[in-house]
Amino acid sequence: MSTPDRILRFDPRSSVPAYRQIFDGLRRHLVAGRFQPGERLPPVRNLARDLGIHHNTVAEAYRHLADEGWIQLVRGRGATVVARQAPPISSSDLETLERQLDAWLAGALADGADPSWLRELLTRKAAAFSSEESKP
Amino acid sequence: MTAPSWPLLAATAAQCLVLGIVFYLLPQWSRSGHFFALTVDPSFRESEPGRRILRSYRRQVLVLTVLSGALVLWLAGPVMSSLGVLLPVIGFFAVFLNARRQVRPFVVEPDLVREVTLHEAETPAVASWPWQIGPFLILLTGAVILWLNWDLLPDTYVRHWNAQMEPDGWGTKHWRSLGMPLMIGAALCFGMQWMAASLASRVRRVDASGDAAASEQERRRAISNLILVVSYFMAVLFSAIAMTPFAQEPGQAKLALVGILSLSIFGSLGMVLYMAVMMPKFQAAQRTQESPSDRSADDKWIAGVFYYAPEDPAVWVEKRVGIGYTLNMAHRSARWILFLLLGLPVLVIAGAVWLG
Repeated sequence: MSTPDRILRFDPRSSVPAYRQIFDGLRRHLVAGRFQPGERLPPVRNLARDLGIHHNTVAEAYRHLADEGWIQLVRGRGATVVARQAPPISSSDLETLERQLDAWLAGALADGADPSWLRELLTRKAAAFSSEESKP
Repeated sequence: MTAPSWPLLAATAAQCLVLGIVFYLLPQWSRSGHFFALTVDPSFRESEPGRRILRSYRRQVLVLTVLSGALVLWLAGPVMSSLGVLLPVIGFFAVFLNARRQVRPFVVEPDLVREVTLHEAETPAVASWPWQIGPFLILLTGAVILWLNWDLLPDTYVRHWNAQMEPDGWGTKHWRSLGMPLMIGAALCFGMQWMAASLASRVRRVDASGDAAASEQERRRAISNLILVVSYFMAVLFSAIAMTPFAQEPGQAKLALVGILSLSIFGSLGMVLYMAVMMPKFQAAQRTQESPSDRSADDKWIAGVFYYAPEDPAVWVEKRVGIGYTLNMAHRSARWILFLLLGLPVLVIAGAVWLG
């Protein structure tokens, strides 16, 4: 069953590579728990047709998701969502994440974003992800 | 040179009229964000320049319809009865391109961002199988009637009439010759059904949510139904043609021909009326709801009619003008589909002629 939240967005004019947009979009839904283990993602060709991109691009995004352990790819059966246990994150990975967040926050502030709005945004996003994840 | 008979002239003039009605209504059948196959603000067609362009276009279509109909009746030559339909189409297309040129200054950048609701499975908008086999049953009934009344059929029968509705081609009593209209009908119906199935799985979904999604689904169903209606119409028309050998008396033959011409004209008119009734409903729904188009770029459309986008994997895309879908001519499979749709009836005729 699909929910209105399960929307994948693709911008052909974005500087972000097409496969990355698909990968990021799908992973966001998977992290938020909007797909249950056992559910299937749309067939590669259908998604490629609806987004207006080459099917190899969608297949590449699916391969990356499979590499991260979100889905299982079986020839003839498509992409099935699997139960994924997040691996323990290392301290160096945490440092990298913090640096990336610092850089992103600095960029947002440099572009004129209001600090209180940024704080509220981060809190809201974190809460949204954790509440979605806790859904049965 | 003898003038064509009045039923043929009347039929040609009526075809001009049907074409005129189609071109007159065409702009109101496209999505509100498209005007003469260009992307505009959805409110543009209600604005003063939008109304002015539409008024001017419709005036020209009306004048052309009257002129072409009058020309067919006035010149009344065999050439005119053949060109009677072709000439107005060229004229209407020129008028369309002129209106398109006037819309160009008001074009807005199309929103190319596509959003897709992630469905596990799709529900294709295609008719159920009992409806799909209906046209073939009609054609089969025609074949059974021929078979049951085989002894009543003459050894030679008229199978072609000239523009004066005088016989100029005869066929012999053989199943290949008598069954040819039914085979052509079956080939056409098969082509239509195959196109409907291809559309159901290969057309790009226009994503929308809420009421707009329901409207999109209805739109797709209406198009699928239209293909089915055309299929039934073809089956009835070709079955009627297959029955003409039973009417060999001069008076009967003419009556049968007039009947077939009337059937084709009134059938076409019926389908145009169906679209005229259905399409404004979707238009109204789109004006009040957030319903995107399939987000194709303007520059991929040649003259607003032919779509050519090698980077787009969609084989079928929504038309910018009128109702339905068109092929993305950049794909090899699209060219095959076109070849099969146009070539199948020709192959049937060629096969029947070759077999004797």
